[in-house]
Amino acid sequence: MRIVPSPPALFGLRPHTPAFLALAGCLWLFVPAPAPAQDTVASADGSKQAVIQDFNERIAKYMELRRKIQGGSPPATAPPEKLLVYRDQLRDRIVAARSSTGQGDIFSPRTAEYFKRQLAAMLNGPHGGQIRASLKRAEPVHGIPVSVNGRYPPNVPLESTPPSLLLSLPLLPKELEYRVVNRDLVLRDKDANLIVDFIPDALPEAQAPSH
Amino acid sequence: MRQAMNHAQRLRAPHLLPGAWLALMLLGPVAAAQQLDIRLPLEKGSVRFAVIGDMGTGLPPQYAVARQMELYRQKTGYDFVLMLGDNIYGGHGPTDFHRKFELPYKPLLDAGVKFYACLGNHDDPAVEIRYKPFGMDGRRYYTFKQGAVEFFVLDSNYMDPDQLTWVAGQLRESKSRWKLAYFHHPLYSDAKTHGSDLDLRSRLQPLFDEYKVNVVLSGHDHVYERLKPQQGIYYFVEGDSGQLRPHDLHRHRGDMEVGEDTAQSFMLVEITPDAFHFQVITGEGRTIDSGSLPHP
Repeated sequence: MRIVPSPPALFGLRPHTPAFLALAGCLWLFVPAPAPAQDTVASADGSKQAVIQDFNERIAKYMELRRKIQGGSPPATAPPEKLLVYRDQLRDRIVAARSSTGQGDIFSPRTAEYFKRQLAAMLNGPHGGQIRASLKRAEPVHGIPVSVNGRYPPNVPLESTPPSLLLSLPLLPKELEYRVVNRDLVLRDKDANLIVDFIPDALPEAQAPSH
Repeated sequence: MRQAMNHAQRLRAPHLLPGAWLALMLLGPVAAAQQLDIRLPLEKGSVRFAVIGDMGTGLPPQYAVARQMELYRQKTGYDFVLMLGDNIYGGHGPTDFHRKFELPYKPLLDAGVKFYACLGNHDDPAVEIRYKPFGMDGRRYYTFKQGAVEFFVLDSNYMDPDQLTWVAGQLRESKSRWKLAYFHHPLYSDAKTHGSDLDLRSRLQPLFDEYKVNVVLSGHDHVYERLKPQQGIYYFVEGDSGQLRPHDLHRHRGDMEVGEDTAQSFMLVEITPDAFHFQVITGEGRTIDSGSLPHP
């Protein structure tokens, strides 16, 4: 099992700052991969480090913007009506600040290609069968519209992301998460319920879970 | 059926409920006449709690199970409830929390019973982790202790490296005699619709084995199932405390000890130093499984 340090433990660096993410990315590069397939990807792509660093820098830029406009963290406990208002306000502010953003802003073409190869390697590797089964058993939904700055539809369940997939992808700040929607890999802002970016058809078609 | 539909229609407009209807719904017409069949030892100093999963529909079967939970609470004195996810289906506005949680469990809440939730795939994490009655205090995963029992509450929707690191550390440091983990997606299940989550199992079971977890509870499949012990760990699926998927269990698989897929239910648990005692009760008050499992 590949266990990496949790963000607060990274040598005293404040989580989700550019320095933190750069260091996390470097550490991630040296963590042993869970499957031989990952080594294949790494050897086939000598620029892995540059791709990860670029990705982390884009994430850090998003987080910096988010921190500026979020207007304080949500409280540990609050009534649902207040939380829903907080969510809508946060999303509106982020959307306004990123109004010119399009698909590929975080997942650049190079990064998207790297992620797609990672996912394909995992799904075709020794853990592929159990990952596909996990996706299938996570009650997947289809036909969900995905767009940058769009919201994940309320009342629609979120498909769980298999742990082996998460272990193969770069770490994210706690405010963000990877989700599989249709066959896309979505980067979602949890508190804002906002689709920050996505990779269309990130899961290989032949390996998409059947339903 | 007509009565059930009227019930459901009234629940969709709770502000229209007259007091008499509310009392009938919460107490139930059979409550006064029912003889309770209690199969727990009720030992002094034991840890007692109830377990529900996939409950948050706001429909009559959830209310029926909730009525039985209150009847059994009065006799057994349990004072907290574990929620195995899919706590609130559909919308997550204030009326949803009222109709799908606050109203069905009102007698328990009024009696001071605490709830400790984990997240299911139908839950809205950002809202539910901060909803005070769910006991999560803004956390996706957490631990708490009651007597000799430590509870490890995980988020199986998103088992990322941080959470795996955290749970390994918490289990390693735990000195509790009993370690009980619960989360939504089952590592073992004989249900046809979902079944065992093999990828999750490949990551969690080695930790559970290494750090001697005793009991694992999950939902997701809308059935009740008690598995044969796996590496000495007792696994349960309790995913039918509101939902139900009739006849969804594979009956001839090797791992099943007891399964029930025709009635909604909840679990009643009592943990003593030497045993895990349990009883599973349907919304009609019928006991479908019970027993005492020794501490390994």
